[in-house]
Formats: sequence, structure tokens, C-alpha cells
Amino acid sequence: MEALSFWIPEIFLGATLLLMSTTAWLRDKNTPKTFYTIAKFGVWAALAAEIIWYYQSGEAEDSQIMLFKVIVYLLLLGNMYISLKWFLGDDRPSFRFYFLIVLMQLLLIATVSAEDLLVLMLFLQGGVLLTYLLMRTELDPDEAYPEIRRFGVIALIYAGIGLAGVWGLFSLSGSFDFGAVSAYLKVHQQEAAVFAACAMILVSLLFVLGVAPFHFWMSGAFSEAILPVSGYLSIVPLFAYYACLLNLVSGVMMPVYPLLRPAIEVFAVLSVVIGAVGANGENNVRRLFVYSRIFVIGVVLSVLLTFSSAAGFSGFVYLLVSMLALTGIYTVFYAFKSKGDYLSDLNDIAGLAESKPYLAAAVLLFMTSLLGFPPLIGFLGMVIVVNHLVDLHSYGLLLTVIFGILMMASAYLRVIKVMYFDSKHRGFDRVDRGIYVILLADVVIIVALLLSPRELLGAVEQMLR
Amino acid sequence: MQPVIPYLLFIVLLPLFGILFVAAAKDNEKTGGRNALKVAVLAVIANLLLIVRAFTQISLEYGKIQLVEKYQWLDSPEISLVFGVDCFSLLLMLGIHLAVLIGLWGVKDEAQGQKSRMIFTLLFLCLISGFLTAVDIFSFFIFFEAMLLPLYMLVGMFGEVRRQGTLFRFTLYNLLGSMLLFAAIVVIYNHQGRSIYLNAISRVELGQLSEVLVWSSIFAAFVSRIPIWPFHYWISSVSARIRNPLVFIIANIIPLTGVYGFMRFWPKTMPDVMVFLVVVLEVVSVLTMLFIALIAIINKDIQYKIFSFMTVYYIFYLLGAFLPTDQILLNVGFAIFAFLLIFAALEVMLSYMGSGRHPEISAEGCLQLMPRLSAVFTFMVLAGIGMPLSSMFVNNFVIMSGLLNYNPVTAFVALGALVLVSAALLSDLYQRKKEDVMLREEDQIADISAGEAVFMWGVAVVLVLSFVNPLWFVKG
Repeated sequence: MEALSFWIPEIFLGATLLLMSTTAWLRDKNTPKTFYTIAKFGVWAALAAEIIWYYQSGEAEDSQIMLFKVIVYLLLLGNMYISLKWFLGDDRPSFRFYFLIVLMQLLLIATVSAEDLLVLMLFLQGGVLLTYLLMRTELDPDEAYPEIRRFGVIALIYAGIGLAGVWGLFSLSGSFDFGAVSAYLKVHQQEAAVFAACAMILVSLLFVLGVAPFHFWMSGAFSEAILPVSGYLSIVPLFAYYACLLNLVSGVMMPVYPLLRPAIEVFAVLSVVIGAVGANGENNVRRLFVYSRIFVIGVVLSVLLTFSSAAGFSGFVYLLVSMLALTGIYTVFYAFKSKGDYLSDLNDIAGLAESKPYLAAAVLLFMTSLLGFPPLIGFLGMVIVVNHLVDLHSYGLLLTVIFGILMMASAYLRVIKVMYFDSKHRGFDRVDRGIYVILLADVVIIVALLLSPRELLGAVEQMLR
Repeated sequence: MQPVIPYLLFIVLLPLFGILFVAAAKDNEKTGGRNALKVAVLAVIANLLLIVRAFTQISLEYGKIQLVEKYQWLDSPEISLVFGVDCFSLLLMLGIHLAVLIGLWGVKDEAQGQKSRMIFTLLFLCLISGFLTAVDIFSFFIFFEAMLLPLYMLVGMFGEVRRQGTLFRFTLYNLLGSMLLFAAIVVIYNHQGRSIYLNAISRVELGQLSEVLVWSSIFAAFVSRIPIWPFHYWISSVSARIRNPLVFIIANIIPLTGVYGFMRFWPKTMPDVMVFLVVVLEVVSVLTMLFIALIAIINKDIQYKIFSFMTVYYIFYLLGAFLPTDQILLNVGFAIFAFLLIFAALEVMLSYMGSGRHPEISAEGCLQLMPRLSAVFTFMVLAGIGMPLSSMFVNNFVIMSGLLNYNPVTAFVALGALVLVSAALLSDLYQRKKEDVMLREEDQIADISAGEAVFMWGVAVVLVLSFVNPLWFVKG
């Protein structure tokens, strides 16, 4: 019975998928809201089941895993709500989108809890496949979308690399189990084959995280996809992949990690630099914030280098505050609309502050928070990151992060200039009230965290340790 | 122990509440932005009253931090907002609030964008108040960096320099300074295991390399705020081109944050490695003073002359800050208080001339046709160059004496620069040089109104009172 109750959240999500499919099959008069409603109830039920089971089982599950699961659920719910605005706008069919993200949720929470290398890799690659399918959602079937196609091909190659790495470790250690593989690695940490297999698994994970130099698919593919898809992919799966990385390195690969660390350090620096430089070269706001996300990942990786619990905590806090700001930015993208078209060119939002001052103020707030500007909540992340780097005497990385922040500031100042200082040359459509509600909620969370971060961070620190 | 009434918290937060009211104020073509302006003025006056009240609660000494309030923010790393003041920081706060109030007077007739202007002005006041009341390193940094945002917005939106890449570079340059300070502070924090008060920094014993890096970062951070050669270009190219009096005043308060930072951070007993930096700063400072004063003589732009006037004085006060006695530092405070009022009044009056009320004319010689403005303008210029009309007179004299004792060469060059920049300020407005640009009697330039004259003479009265007794408002 207890074993069954462990699976209740997954059962709820599975049932939701079944209900959505049945509804799409049997019922003709479906609106975009139909599938949103079904998905919403399913996800809420699964989240409630997760929390209830966690406490009823005497907190048997790893609190760290639970934390990441809850965050992924909450981000998904927010994303589902805001995405509905896009589908309702032109009365587009929403079945495929909601079906795929609920299925993705199922895979993500399984990935986060995985304690078996094969299961982890299969779910991870399943997630990549769903990412590809999501990217093609609601696109014109007659158009080529070269960036998405390129992502599909490259993803296949990295999936092969990851699976080959898992197979390699299995053939060496004779097991897929985290504990058994870790025990094997402790003894055979110097072997080249072990190192190669671990590197292959890690590379495939870094690819899905979008770490440079494996990021090249990201900006193009995310900007070609529809807004709900790029918003979802930019934020929601990130926490699950972060948890995977933590589990994998600290739970399995720690014995060989010292050999891998220099490469991770290089990837971190590359991500910071490429994210910051790339953002400056972009005139497409969606691409600009994709680079911003790469920068954030770079900073997180810089902090995570030791994979200690303190590093995990620091990386998590920075990721959380950055994603809160990015969620706000993506929400505002839904309001960048003129004559029914979503705007993505930077010049299209010139003079936004004139006609939509609250939206412009929200973008300003979120961007300054992303920069770690005091006294906004991003500063909290920045303090923790810088303090951690100084603590480790990683002054080279500290300088890289500072350089990156300055470059990011230059990119954001450009956005501020366009919104506030330039004259507007087009009108903006009326903004849906729901968008303001989400923005307000985001601002309230940011302000609440800002005013009283102690309790929350204390709890988070305890869970991560 | 926390004071019963958290005056300092109120002083920091009151402008924020003002922002909420300004945001809610009705602002359309009919009101012409007057509602937003009134709310902002009210918030500034209320804060002024609080500041004066805080003055009555403290003993009037430099460096004795009082009314300390502590608000815990984070446990790990342990960060608190710690506020506290001494006579010096309260004086600067008072001066800045009065200068901004004068600046608000200068933009009272501007309707466009008034709401945004007031919001960012109040945000700036909130942050600069926080900066001047911060007594521990993290609180200090938070406000030091945060004030860059309203500055960028104000200059970009209303300063008319927005199409130049210089504003970008100016902001990034300042941000770089802030980041260096942040890194230095985190290193100190890590070394001590806790946040410390500003006046305890000089007692932190770091390793030699760390000491050089930390103090160099702090040095660079504060220099980045002051237009000192070779970094003066970005600051001067932005600050000198601002045409809005309020924004000009706010932008030119920023160098004061650098001077203040040096005064609060810099140790009286210098680590050996830092002596070199101080010598470099001294040489570069006097050369910059001379250089800027000479340019002010040549330059025809009256705005640039005001900017030069301010810069030369800021550097003069910076030199005063390195003198080894606390008494002189208090003199610096008294002088800066009067100086802030004088430059704010001059700037507002300039907006009545060339670039403001009479865009069609050059400022050259125009005072001859504006008797009311001429009188009060002359008063301010004379007070500014150190005549016995404000607290600048005695206190500049004391600082100069201190400099003469310390290093006569530095003192003489500084004195020369002060004379030159004063001459630059005085010359063009009265001098008839070229017939073709000279103003004629029939040009019919409207003088300032009686109300505006009364306001400006009110500022002059405050200056005279500060000459009689720099803390007249406390002791009656």
C-alpha cells in the first residue's frame, strides 16, 4: 500500500493525460480552456499528493528532491496559466501543448527522483524528445524551421553520447544503481574508460541545461518556437535538470569529479562570457533573454564547482531568484502585442513606458533584479554567489562573473533605453488582466522574499543539506 | 539598543511612501504634473523636518555614530541594514534635501513626464538618505550601488543626453566601480566572518596582497564617482550636458558620494601599501582641478562652467578629507552644506536664462537685462567663490589652512584653481565681448517673477544664517 501511495502523483498525472486524450477524442467542442482546466486540476492534485505523501511517510523522501519537485510543479502551474492567454488570443487548439507539458512533468519528476543511471538517462532523453515535439507545437507545417530541425539532429547525437556513457559505466561496474556505480568509481577512479563514460553522461546533461559550448541550439530554437513553449522550456525544466546534475555528481561521480572539474570550470566561464556577449549582440528580446539564461546557468555552474552542500545551496538560491525574474520577463512578453501580433524585435517596444508604464516598470524591476542590483531580490543571489566564490578563493571566476554582470548590464541598459528614452512608433494592444495578475504575484513574491528572506532561506538550506 | 523612534528608517522610507502617492496622483494635461510635484515637495519637506528633528537628538561631533538602528536581513551570510548618523552625515543629508527642493522649484513649470521625474527623484532621495545613514559595509554598498538606477533613468529620460553612448559608458563605468567595492566588501566580510562598521575597516588586518587588492578596489570605486583625470571624461560629458536643473543637481550630487566614501572608508593611519595611492590621488587631484578650471575659462557653455565649479570644489573637499583631523572634516561638512545650496540655486537660475526660459538667446550678457535675477545670481556666485556670505567662507579658509600646513604646493595649486573657476563663473555673464552675440536693451527678456525672486532670496537667507552659525537650525 505504501509503495502504491508513492506513485500517486504519477498516477494523477497519468490519469490527467488519459482524460485529456479522451476528451480530445470524444468531444468536438473543445476550447483552449478545456485542456488547461483538465491539466490544472491534474497537476494540482499531483502536487497535493506529493506533499501529503512526503509528510505522511515521515519525510522518507529526500527533502532536496521534494523541494525541487515542488518548485517544478509551481512553475508549471504558473506557466500553464499564462500560456492560456496565448491560446485564447487567437483561439488556437491547446491540446498538444498541455498534453506534452503534463507528460514532460511526469518525466521530470521521475528524472529528479531517479536513483538508477539507465532510468535517469531514459527519462532525460524522453524529456529531450518532448522538448523537440513541444518546439514544433502550433508551427506552420509547411515551413522548415531550420533551428528546430537542427536541435532535433543534435539532440539525437547527444542522446547517443549519454546512453553510450551509461552503457559504458554499466559494462564496467555491472550495475545501473547509483550506489553500486559510485562504489565502483571509488575504486577505479583513475581509469580512462571510467572518466570517458562519466564525461559522456555529464555532457549529455549539460546539453539539456544549455551550458556553453553546448548551447548553440538554444537561442534559435527557442525564438522559433511559440511563446508558451519558449517560456516553458526556458524556466520550468531547468530546476529538474539542476537537481539531476546535483544528484548525479554528488551521488555518483564524486570520486572522478576532480578530473572533470577543470572542464566544468571552463564551461562555466564560457557560459558567463557567451551569455553576456551574446545578449549584447541581440536585437530580438526573446533571444536576448535566452542568452541571459545561459549567463545565469554559467554563474550557477561557477558556484557549483565543488558540488558541496553549500555550493548546491548557493547555486539554488541564485537560480531561484533569477528564474523568478525571468518568469516575470516572459510574462511581460505576452503583453508585447500590437494589432494582434506578438512583438519580439527590440525596436518594436520603443516607448513602451509612454503607453504601458506598469509593464515597463515591471521589466525594469525584473532586469535590475537579474543583474543583482540592490536592494532587489537578485542582490540576495549575487551576495551568496560572490560570498561563495570569495570563500573558495576563486578570484578568477569572481572576476569573470563581475565582467559578465557588466556586459549584461550593458545589454539591459539598451532595453531600458529603448523602452524609456526612445519615442514610441507603434501602439500596443490592451493587456489582458491575467497578465497583470501574474506580474503582481511575481512582484509580491519578490518583495516578500526581499523583506524577509531569512525564514525561507533557512528552510531551503536545511532541505538542501 | 534601538532608539524609541526609528528616525533614520523613517527618513529612508518616507520618500518611498511619497513614490506611492505620486504614482497614484492624477496626472493629465489639465493638472500639468502639478499634483505629482506637490506630493514630491511635501515628501521632501516632511523628510527635512525629520532630519532637523534627528539633529536635535544627537551630539554634534564628527564620527560619533548615533541613533543606531539595526535590521537583520540575512542569517547566512549575516547581513543587516544598520543605520546611524553623525553630525556630518546629517548635514549632507540636509544639504541634499534642500538642493533637491530647489531643483523641484526649477522644474515646477515642466508638465511633461513630471510623474516619472518625481518618482525617480524620490527614489534617489530614499537611496541617498540610506547611503548617508549606512554605517556598516553591506548597508553602505547597497545604497551606493542602488542609487545608480534612478540616476540613469533621470539622466536618460530628462537630461537630453540620451542619444549619446556616453550615458551608457558613464553608467557602466560607475557600475564597475560598485562591483569592485562589492568584491572588496565581501573579502573583508569573509576575513572578519561578519559585517563590520565603516569606521572599523581601517583596523582590519589583511595579508599584504589582499590589502593591496582590497584598498585598490575601494579606491577605484570612489574615484569612479569623482571626475578625476583620467576618468573624468565620461562624467563630465554627461553631467555638463544635462539641461534639466533638477536632473543636473541630482547627477552632480553623485561625485559627493565618492568624496563621502573616501571620508568614511579611508583610514587615518594608512597601511604602508596605501601611501602610494594617496600621493597619486593628491597629484592627480590638483592637476585635475587646474585643468578643469582652465577649461572653464575657455569654455563658453555656462553649464560647463557650473559643472567645473562644482568639480573643482568637490576635489578641494576631497583633499580636505585626507587631512588628519576630525575637526577639519566637520568643516568640510559645513562647507559642503552651503556649497550644495549655492550650486543648486545657480543651476535653477541658469535654467531661467539661456537653455531654459529663453532658449532663443545666449546666456552671454543676459544678466544685464534681468535685474532681479542678476542680484540674486551675483549673491550666489560671490558666496560660491568664498566671499563672507555663507558657511563656505570660514570653512574653506580652515580647509585651505590645513592644506597649507600639510603641503603648501598642493594648497597653492588648489587655491589657483579655485580662483580661476570663480573667475570663469563670473566673467561671461556680465562681460560684453562681441557685438554680434551681445544682448540689446530691446531684446525684452522677462526677468524672474517676484515669487521666484523671494524663493531665491530665501535660499540666500539660509546661506547667510549658515555663515553666522552653521548649525543655526539646531541651536536657534
